[in-house]
Amino acid sequence: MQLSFKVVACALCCGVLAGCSHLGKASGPDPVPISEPDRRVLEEDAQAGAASRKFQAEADEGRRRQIRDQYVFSRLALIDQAFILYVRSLSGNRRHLDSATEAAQMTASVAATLVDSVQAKTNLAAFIALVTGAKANVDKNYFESKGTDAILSTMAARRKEVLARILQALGSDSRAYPLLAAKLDADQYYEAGTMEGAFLVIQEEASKRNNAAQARIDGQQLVRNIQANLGSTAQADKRQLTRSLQPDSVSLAAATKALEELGVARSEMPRTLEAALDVLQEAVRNARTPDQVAQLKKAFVDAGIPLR
Amino acid sequence: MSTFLVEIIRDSLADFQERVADEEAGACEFSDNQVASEGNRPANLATFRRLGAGTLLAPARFAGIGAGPPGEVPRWTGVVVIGAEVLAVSMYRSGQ
Repeated sequence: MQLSFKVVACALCCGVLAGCSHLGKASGPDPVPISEPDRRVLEEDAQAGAASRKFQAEADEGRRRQIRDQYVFSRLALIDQAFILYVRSLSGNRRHLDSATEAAQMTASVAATLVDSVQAKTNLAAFIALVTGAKANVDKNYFESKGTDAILSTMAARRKEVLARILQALGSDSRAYPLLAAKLDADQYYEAGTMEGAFLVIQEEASKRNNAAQARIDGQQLVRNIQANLGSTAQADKRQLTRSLQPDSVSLAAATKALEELGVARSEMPRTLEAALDVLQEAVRNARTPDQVAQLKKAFVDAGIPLR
Repeated sequence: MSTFLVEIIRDSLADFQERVADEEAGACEFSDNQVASEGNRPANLATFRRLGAGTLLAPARFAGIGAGPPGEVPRWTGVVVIGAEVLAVSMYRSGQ
């Protein structure tokens, strides 16, 4: 029975590894099937309670290791078989179903505008919107399916990590690696192939990168919607202020005086003309209401910066 | 040169164009737009590139595909959301 179990276990592992190498593809080799008699053997040998009782009752070291190893391999074989079936159900159908449904809805809503041949320009714009929308649909589902692939990759990597530890530990005697320790590792092997286990790993890795990522996001300025435009007068004033900041138009003294009026502390005052002009330009850039533009204009005039 | 994002929500293409002009009056250049949504509200996320102090470009003008100034090559083509409608538009700059 032990010899046939080992043959079955090896066959299962080969089948699972072959299946895992095709994760994310629509087609792939079917998992190696387990016959009913072999499945019963595996399930019986994978019962922790029964294995533990035999393990505790056995005094012979060689026999204890056999009981332990039999439990581990039976449990791993059943976990692997279930995992590959789970993965195939996750990655095989979802992508196609989502894309088909959303694309059909989008096509139906835009198709009506393409009927009238007289409105060529409107139809062309609508067609482009459809293509853009369809592309967004593909991109969205592409990234969603990539999310699933990322989760499955995390599962596969974590399972290999735990499996390597188990196989290495099985080289130890039954005192150094008792059946209870093997059971706990087998539990971890199972957890590694679950969504919850994958999310925990992803979360741990994500939190490590969070601070650096947040710093990058914070570095990209986002200006929220401003309800009203500047208006023609304020916009023209803003352009005038920008033109006035050309390097040959302004002295460092005048730029410094304008910055003082705008509240820049002496300790933070730029020391070169180029730097002072950059700071003033950023102030003009950030003026988004008529009042802000007017305040800047006053500072320029008071500082003696000629308006161009 | 660095870039920054500007959220733009407007009900007409002319207003969208003026909002872009307001930003470009401060020495920057419109370079791209993406339609995004926050909750149920669609919005434009326009990317602007900072230019050197004192730099002003010719005004950007937006028009529907094929409705731009005759003989002019568009500088950018993409989509904008105006009101609740997504429009395919091109951007032109005269004199460049």
